[in-house]
Amino acid sequence: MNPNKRIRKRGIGGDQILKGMVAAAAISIVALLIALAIELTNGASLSLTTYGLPFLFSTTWDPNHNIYGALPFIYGTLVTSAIALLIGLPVSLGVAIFLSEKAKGHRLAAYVLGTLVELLAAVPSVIFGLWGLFVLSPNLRTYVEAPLHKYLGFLPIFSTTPIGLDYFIAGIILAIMIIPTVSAVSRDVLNAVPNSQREAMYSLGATQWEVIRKSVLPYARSGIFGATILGLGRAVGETMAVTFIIGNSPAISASLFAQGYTLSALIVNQVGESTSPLNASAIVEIALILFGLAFVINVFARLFVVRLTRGARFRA
Amino acid sequence: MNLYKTGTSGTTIALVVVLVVVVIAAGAYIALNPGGTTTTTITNTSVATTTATSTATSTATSTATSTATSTATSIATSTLTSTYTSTSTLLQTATVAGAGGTLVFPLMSTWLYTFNQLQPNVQVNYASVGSGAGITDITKGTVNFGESDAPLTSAQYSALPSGSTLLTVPISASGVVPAYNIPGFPATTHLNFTGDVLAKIFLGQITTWNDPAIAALNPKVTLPSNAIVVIHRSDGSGTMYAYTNFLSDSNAQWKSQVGTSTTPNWPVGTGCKGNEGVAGCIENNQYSLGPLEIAYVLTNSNLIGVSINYGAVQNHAGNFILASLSDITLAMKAGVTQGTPVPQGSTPWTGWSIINNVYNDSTDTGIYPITTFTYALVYESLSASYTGFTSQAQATATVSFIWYCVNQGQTAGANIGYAALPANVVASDDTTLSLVTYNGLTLLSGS
Repeated sequence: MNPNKRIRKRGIGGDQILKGMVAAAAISIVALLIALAIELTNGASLSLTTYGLPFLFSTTWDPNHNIYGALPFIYGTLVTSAIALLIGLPVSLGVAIFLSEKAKGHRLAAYVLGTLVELLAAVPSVIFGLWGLFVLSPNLRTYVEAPLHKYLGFLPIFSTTPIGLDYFIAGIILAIMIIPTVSAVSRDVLNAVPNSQREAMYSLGATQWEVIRKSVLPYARSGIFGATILGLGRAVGETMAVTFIIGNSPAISASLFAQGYTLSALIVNQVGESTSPLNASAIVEIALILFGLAFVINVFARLFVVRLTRGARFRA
Repeated sequence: MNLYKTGTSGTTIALVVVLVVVVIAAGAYIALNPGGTTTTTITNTSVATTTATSTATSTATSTATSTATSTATSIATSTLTSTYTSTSTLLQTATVAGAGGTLVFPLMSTWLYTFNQLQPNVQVNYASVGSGAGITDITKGTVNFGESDAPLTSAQYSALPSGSTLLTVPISASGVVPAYNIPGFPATTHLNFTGDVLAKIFLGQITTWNDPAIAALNPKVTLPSNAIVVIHRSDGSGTMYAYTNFLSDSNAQWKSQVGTSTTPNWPVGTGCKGNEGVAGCIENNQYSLGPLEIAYVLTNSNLIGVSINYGAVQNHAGNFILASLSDITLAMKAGVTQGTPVPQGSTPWTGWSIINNVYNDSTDTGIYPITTFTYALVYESLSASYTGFTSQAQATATVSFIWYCVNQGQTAGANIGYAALPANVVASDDTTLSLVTYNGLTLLSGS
């Protein structure tokens, strides 16, 4: 009895210390987040009190005349992120399915390919930006945008004469940038699907496609959704690459080939050159909006995942 | 599957370990060798500010009371005349932090290196954070000197600490050229532009290359009928400040609608990031037109004349000038002798520019009209209170560095596309710098 007791006592002491340490680490993150929100609100207070809510819906950004509005930037951020998801998600899913289902017999190949995809995530975004500007933009403009404009120019989304700096190309760059994140996480999620799920389907005579579509993907959908949100988070906040190829024009256009602007691009373009306290404050408010947008996206994603998993449980 | 997973995590762990080691090594290296990188600059800036409050007061006062005025003057004179020509007069150990515009950064990097060769005891760091941020930093006293491509606005002047006087010292100049990409034109063909035509193009009133207004300036050239793709900088920049200043002088509508700004609200066009971004956007788009900094044009001969060319701009005398460094020096020379006099000493510089002065009144026929100064900003009375100086050595080093840039440093610009300040500007800068004091002691004697 006695030795046992001693051991337990010592254990509790260590536990307490560890608990304190990890709790401090956890709390510091919360504190950091709160401090960030407070600091942003503080910095933006001048702009918030001067312009109020109309700041969100005004479309002019003119530091020289102290007129500020955030709508073109919010619009640009949402449009480019949407394009990124629309293009990036199917490709990422394809990569994930290939790596987890199709390449199973070839572990080395899957490993090499998987590592390469992850390496893509390590490429600094400014390199994507320069590559986008000098390589991707002229080629996409000539071989994709120009024909689309020529033959489908009557559609509002293709109506602008393309110059290679627009929502569309910014969206493509973002798609390329989110693919590594989304596909790596999705692959891990698919790998985590129990083999019993697959075996059960095969035993019923299902083809591989049917197994993937009806068994693997539904089982993994909340995880895939989480991966998508991670990607969306990156797309919304991405700065350098987009700044190079979005065209940086604070306008709102239905055409994907028109020049736009994003929240993060505005911050990086103008934060060093504010000419008045009001100007600086308006830029901080843009940062606050970006912060809020990322926050809202994450909260909605959480709620959606919770609903999804509950639905799955009910069906099971 | 299990095998595969272990493999991944093993690699990941190895990668993380390597990364951590590299980061720690880099951190240690930076900590031990305060070099010229931006990261180091930031570190040093914060160090300078924190120590300022604790040590400065006592050291500063003791120096002030013990050192007689005569000693101070003698130090000052020797600094000015002999420090840079011989290494015998070394400045005392000091770290100087500066922050400001990106336009001057390539030249500033050269200065940091060459000054350190002459004065190994002095470590000057410069953070190229943008003119606005440079002004904010000097306002808060977190740097020893600021740098800006535009003089302070009245709002920025009023934000300065009460009782302070911020001196504005032109340290270099740049020009802005209209660059374009028209396929089929020989490299030797340079189109002619006027400020009014450029303003109308950037207002969206002139939209095609063969517009009669452009054709009238270029009678010998057959212009294409294609639409002009308008390009400009997206990031705030002194280059755009100078360019919009010129357009404001040239066109009344531009002045009232857009005005002069580092971050103007462009009526038309596409914003590209940095000089390299603007050059890339012009290169990628046929029939495009955009303003580029002369330093970029002169140092990128692989682009200019190949896929990009640049035009001549009409000056007040009616001549079309294809920018060169000597035309820019001419413009500086004229800019400080004509029109609105150069603000002296503590007089605010708001709204003063070479462009305004040479636009309406230029007896010199060879000046390039889109020429702009870039300025060092330093307080007139240095002390520990709002300027964050920790010692007389630091104050002397700061002023000596700016003095070096203005005088001996000017020759360094020729290779990298910066025009040398003319003698009259150097003389006026030297007078301004001689006003700087540390706790009431003069640091440099006048020229």
